[in-house]
Amino acid sequence: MRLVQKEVLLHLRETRFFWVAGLCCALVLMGLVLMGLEYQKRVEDYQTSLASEQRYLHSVNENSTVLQQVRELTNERGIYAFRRPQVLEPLAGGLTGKVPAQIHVLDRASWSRQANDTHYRNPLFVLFPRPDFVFVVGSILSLVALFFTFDSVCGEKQAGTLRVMFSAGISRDRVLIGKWLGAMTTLAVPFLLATGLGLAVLGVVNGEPLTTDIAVRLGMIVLVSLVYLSLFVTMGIAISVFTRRPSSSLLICLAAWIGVSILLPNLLASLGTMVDPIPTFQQIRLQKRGIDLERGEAFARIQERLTKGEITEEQRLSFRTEASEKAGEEKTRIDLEYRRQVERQTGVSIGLSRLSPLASRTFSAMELADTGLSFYRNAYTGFEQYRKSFREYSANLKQAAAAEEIKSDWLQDDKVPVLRFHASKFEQSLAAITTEFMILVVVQLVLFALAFVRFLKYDVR
Amino acid sequence: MLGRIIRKQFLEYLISLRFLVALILCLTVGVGATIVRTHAYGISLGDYRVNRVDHGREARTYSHPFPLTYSGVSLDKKPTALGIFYRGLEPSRPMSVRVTANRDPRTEDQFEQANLVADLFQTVDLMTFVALVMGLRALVFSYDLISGEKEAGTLRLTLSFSVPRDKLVIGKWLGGYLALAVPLVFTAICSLAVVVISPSVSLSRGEFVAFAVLVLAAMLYTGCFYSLGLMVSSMTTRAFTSITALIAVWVALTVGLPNVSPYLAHSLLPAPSIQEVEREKWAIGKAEDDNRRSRAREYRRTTTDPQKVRGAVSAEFWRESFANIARRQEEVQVSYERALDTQVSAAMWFSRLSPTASVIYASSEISGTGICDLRSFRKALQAYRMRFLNYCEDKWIVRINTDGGPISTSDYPRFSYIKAELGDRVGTALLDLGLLVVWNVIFFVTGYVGFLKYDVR
Repeated sequence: MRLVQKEVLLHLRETRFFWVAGLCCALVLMGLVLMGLEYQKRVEDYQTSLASEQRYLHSVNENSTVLQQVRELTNERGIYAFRRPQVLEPLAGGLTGKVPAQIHVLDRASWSRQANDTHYRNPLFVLFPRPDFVFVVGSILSLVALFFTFDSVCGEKQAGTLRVMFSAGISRDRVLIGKWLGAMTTLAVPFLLATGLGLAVLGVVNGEPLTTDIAVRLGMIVLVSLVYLSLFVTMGIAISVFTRRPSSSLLICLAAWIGVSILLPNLLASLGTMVDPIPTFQQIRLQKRGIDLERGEAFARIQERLTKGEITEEQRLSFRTEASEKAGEEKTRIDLEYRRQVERQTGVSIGLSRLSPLASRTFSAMELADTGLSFYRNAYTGFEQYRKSFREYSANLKQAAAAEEIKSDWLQDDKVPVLRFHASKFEQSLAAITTEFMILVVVQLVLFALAFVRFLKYDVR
Repeated sequence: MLGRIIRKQFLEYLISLRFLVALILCLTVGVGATIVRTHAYGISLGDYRVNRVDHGREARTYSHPFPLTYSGVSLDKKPTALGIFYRGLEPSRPMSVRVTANRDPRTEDQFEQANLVADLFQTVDLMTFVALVMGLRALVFSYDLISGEKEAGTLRLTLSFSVPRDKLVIGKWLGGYLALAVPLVFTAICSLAVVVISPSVSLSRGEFVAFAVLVLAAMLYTGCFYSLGLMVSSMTTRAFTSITALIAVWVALTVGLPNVSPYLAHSLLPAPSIQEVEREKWAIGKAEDDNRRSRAREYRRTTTDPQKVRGAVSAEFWRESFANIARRQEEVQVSYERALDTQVSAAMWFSRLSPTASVIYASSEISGTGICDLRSFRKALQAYRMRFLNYCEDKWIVRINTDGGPISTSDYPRFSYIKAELGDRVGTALLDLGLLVVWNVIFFVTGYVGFLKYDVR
């Protein structure tokens, strides 16, 4: 306890503590506030769009017949569906930028109004990473953590205080554990204060109600961040134990940080695409377009046979259905096969990138914020489901309108398909991050064990 | 004497651990990143060629104007060779854009099933490595340039030999910078060699020159941080204080300011949302379509023209309608981009307080993967859209004139996008290159003045 207290007081007296505390507070706060403001704007856009679409949906031409009105909606205007921003996006943007903010569904695909996100994107958002909580902790505070401990052992050795300490009969294991606890306490206090303050400001800015699920997820994100930062504290101590001079230790710490935070995850994820290459989506699209063209030709041949009197109208319809089903099955097979390939390659990339703690920590935070791979898959399924619901809704409406079973009040809000995403449950997120969390803990234990063994033999003279 | 000081400083670094670490980092990471990027470029280029051939074949198979008009053709953007060194806004997968007569050109990579882990952790390229690592490396070289020697007592000793302070500081700067530049230049040469020997890449003379300008930008950037280190070192009495302050400044300049600026500008100068602009665009589409329909109805009611002429007139109505939609939607897009440009410009100016932002902007423009390239590509697409819709309407007329016979699309308009000339690209990057020079001068002069007054005791 005394050792921890001594370490904490030592850190508090140093200039670097003020730099670190200042940096923590400024970056975490600024990141959370800016991301919160951005989120608020997106929620406003989402709500305005919903209201506007609702008005537009009801602006039917009252002079037309019901069938004409239905056709206008399903064949010409279509419906826009909007994606609500994820509540924890300000903390971990994850893959939310890869999912469109809106989709447009229509029976005639050639008139689809699907917006092109590329033409609206602020290019600077691509050039510079998003300064959200995950980025600040992963890329900046990790460096700060290393900076806290790079001279914890070799610095004391150089100053001669380590020798004095041992001569007072303090055991080496206690010294090392005391140093770790002291550094962690000094780092965690400003970090938690800044995070708490930032989250409070974020709550005020966003005005989102704090449900139990969100609170637990927030708590877990902060916990994983602390474990991640402690890994760098351990790394700093380990490097300090393996070096004799603080300047060498600093140099190696910086090189290690560059390797772990910048190089490893980026290079390893790309390596996944090299190890397990897959065809481009353009090639898959072309394959599917080829099937559509073949189907078109088959339809033309069927029509020709009907014109020549070789088949009856009934047979024509049956042949057309058969050709459509065959084409549909073939396209589904291509899609499934491609998805399987993509999933396999993604798995390889994830597996390789896990060699870097930054990747493990990013995956965990994204899953907890529900903005990661599960979110992307759920969004993909949600959009597909929505398109399917619209097709069914449209077919039923047209059938009912043709049979004159519906009247002028045919547009019922509760019947219009609604875009719903399956949100990952907390238990699912927890299960998804178990491996990542274990990796962070195991790497940390290994580093600490290495530092401990080395410290037992450390020459303090 | 100056030569001796330079030599001493250079040799001192040469035998130090930091030089070794820097050299190993530069060679493994800088060259390693270039190898990965070159491989990725090779795959992208191969995919681009396959896509281009397939898309061309698809465009030539149309025999009816209807699918031609509404399904359209796919255009492919050739991957940029210099994107190997700085990826910038270059997409991670080969980019294809679908152009039809009736709607905005649309990139085909939207929400496709893809390996997103590779997008999440994008490969580091040479210039990103320079921007993130070389600045830090320069600080590690210079943080104890003055304060370290003071602590060791060697500064007092050196000055006791009546070495003028100005010569000493200039010599230290030059010697240290030389030691810093050696691994950088060596890495650049090795990276270039990797690209040159790769069978999938062929660089033109202009691209070699552009690469040289990129290396120059990297040198200026490294110089900035080296001078910053000198400045802080000459203002502090302990090396430890110097490195503490420098790391904080590095965090603020490299990962703080540039990353925060776009979001700050986004909050202060909001641009309309994608939903708002889309609504406006499709209101135009609807209005123009209603207008075409009423004109067509009126024409059919009053005309006595033969069937063929009616078809041609109808095609002209469509042509006019599509052209009006394209023109008016483009006006909306331009107006949106003007608002976005204000936001982007404000963010860029604010972020330019950091040399890291300047080196990123300069690298992206010189490589042809920056904002200017993105804008000119979009303009080229819009021009192509007008050509294409006219072509489609011509084909409708051809079909009418051949009594509904099949059409040939072998003469469909080809899309070619030529990047801005190197001179223009360097011209765009000149401001940022100039800023890097200015930062170098400011930091060095401040450090120089600081050292002239420095208490060496």
